[in-house]
Amino acid sequence: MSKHSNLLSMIVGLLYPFILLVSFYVILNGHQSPGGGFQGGAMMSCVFMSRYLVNSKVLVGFDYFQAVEKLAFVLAVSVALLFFIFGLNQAYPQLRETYMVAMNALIALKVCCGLSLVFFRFVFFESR
Amino acid sequence: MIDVTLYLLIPVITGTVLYLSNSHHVRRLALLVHFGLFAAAVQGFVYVKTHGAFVTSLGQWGAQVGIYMRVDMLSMTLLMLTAFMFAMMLLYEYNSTHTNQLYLFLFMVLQALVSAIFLSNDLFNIFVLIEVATITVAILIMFKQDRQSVYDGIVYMLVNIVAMNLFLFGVAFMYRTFGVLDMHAIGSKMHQIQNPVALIIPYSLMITAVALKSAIMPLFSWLPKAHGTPSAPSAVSAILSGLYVKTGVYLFVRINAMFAGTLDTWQFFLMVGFITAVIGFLLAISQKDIKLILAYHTISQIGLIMVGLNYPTDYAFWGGVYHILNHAFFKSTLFLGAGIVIDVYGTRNIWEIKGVFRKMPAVALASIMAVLGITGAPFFNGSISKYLIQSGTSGSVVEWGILLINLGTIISFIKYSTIFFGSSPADCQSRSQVDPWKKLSLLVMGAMCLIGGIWGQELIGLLFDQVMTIGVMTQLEKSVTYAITLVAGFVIYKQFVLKTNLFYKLSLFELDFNGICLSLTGFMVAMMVWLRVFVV
Amino acid sequence: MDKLNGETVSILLFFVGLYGVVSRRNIIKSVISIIVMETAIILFFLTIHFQEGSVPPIGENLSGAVADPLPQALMITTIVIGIAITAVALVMANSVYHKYGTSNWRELMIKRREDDHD
Repeated sequence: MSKHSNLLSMIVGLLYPFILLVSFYVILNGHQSPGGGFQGGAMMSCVFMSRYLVNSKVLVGFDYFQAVEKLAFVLAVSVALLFFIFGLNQAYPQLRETYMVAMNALIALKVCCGLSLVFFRFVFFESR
Repeated sequence: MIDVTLYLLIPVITGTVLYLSNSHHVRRLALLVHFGLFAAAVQGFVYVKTHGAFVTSLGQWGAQVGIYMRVDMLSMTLLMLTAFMFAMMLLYEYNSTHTNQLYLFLFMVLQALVSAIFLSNDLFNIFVLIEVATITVAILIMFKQDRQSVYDGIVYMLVNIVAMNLFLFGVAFMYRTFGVLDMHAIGSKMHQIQNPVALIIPYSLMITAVALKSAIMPLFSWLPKAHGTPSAPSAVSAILSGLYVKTGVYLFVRINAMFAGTLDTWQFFLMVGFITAVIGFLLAISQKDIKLILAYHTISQIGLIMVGLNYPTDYAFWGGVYHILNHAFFKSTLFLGAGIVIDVYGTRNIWEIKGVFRKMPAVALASIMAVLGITGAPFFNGSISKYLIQSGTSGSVVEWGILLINLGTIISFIKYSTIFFGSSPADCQSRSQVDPWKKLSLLVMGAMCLIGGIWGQELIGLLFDQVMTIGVMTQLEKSVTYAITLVAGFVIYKQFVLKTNLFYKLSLFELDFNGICLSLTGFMVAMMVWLRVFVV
Repeated sequence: MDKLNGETVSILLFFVGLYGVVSRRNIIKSVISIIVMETAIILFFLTIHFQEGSVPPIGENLSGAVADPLPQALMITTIVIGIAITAVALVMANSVYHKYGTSNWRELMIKRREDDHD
């Protein structure tokens, strides 16, 4: 795709907020209806993939993706360990819903960055 | 008695720590931790022996609903073996400068996965663990990323993924019929099935996948390339041949125990095991690459283990299980020794390597002990397990089959032992310096072959509760049989093998990826036809 | 049309995937066939005990037919494993193509055998 189409970029650009909105809905309601962290995160990474597909000269910040992914993973593991080791599961039952939403959000962030990184690695580095 | 999940957590933590820093102190600490884990495994074995089998659950769900880990004598024995083998491999790699951190991390993760497979009781758990282990092993095989290992790695991975897809489809059928995925629960409910014809499809799907993982005929084409690939580190080949293919055999035992009483296929696997053993040693004799000889010979020994496991007497079954342990020791010693020989001589061709005994006496000594063990010399452990299998099958035509397999083993190792004698080429006559840690680990494992033989009866009584008396008369009789087979093998080798072109033509037989998948489908259909016609 | 439910479709799809693995000689087509087989298994698991009008198994004191939650949880794991396998297999396929210059299984085997005889 040597010249990118302006029309396609604009229309797909209009779609980004809606994709993000649907993915946030799936993440935030993961504990009450089908969905959850992995599904919402996969939808969020569609934004980055479609941004590349309509305009192949886009700049991608790999370091940011990797840093956010590692941070989200460390936070997810430590929040889970803290929550269970300190027995907050039994002590504060009203915190369980917040815990589920927080874990869903962190997993979604990690999955989004991970899948986007896999896609961009294929596109930028494998086609030697 | 430590918590069972620690066998999985400690290797992963060690691997992570080794990945983050590669200093000498960390390696020493990791080695000590792994020997501690082996000691804990021995203590756990004693606990299971005195208190009987027990289950641990992950999470507090009740029986038949949660994920359980079942620990009984067989799984604890194999867990001890895993801890010991990986500790030995860490000792072997203690001083190597070329092992980078990612390699050690993956190796430790492989230990955690293999331990978890030996402990798990839940069909879907097994699927997930084997898939992750397939990726890990494929990456370890193609670690150096040169031309040949990339092809071997991709064929290995894709063939195992196809087999695991078949396994998962079988698990789906089992869930549809039973509603639970716990192996013990399914085994206890199996007698309520009124129409066993409905179980033919899931059984053949699952057994085909497990048969591919344990490399029996005709599904073994992935094994020689994966285990004997040129640039895989020798510790990886040793673990794969010694331990990882035994997970397939272990799952075979468990799945057959799950279906026992309703679908009994022991005659089929007895025949298949015998054919595997014969074809294994025929192909081993026709190779000229030392690692490929060892890899093809593994197939032959797996055939012998299958014959032992499937014959309906107790002695044969526990002889097969004891042979699993022994084969782990011999094969890994041989693979590690072959790796050192290849490093020093620079070539893999068996006709070009001579005089190892003069050049590297410690390595040669350990390898010769392993060769004596694997061929069944008296006072070595191979003779004990082969004698058990033979006495279990005594009086039937299978016993002659086992003698034939022993003869084939001796011929292939006569061919292998030509590397020890003679004198090395003139330019490298002097003794080579071999890393002392490598020599130590090789000698320890070679010594285990000797120990397993001298105290064989006590070990069998301790591990498996089988009483077996081997008096002096039987020892003499066995030595005579061994000597006769040795002479016969030598004569056949000199007269027949070296003079004919048949074996060279055999070595050209190879299946590509589509061929392997076709043989998978063929095996599955043959299993279904056998079950429909002969069993149900 | 009563027999054309998810289970029969998934069995047919599984055998289509198996045919693809056995008969197609391109590496990428083999990877696609493996993905088709996995999709068939996922569909089979999800439609095992399907009943019209069953509610999702979320909340307490549900009445009526409740959908089975176990296959849904297991299949999320299976989908993630499928993604990981696909990614690793494609990277390996790319590497094989760059080292050997061909992506045909038969030609790869011949070239590998020539490497052995050197």
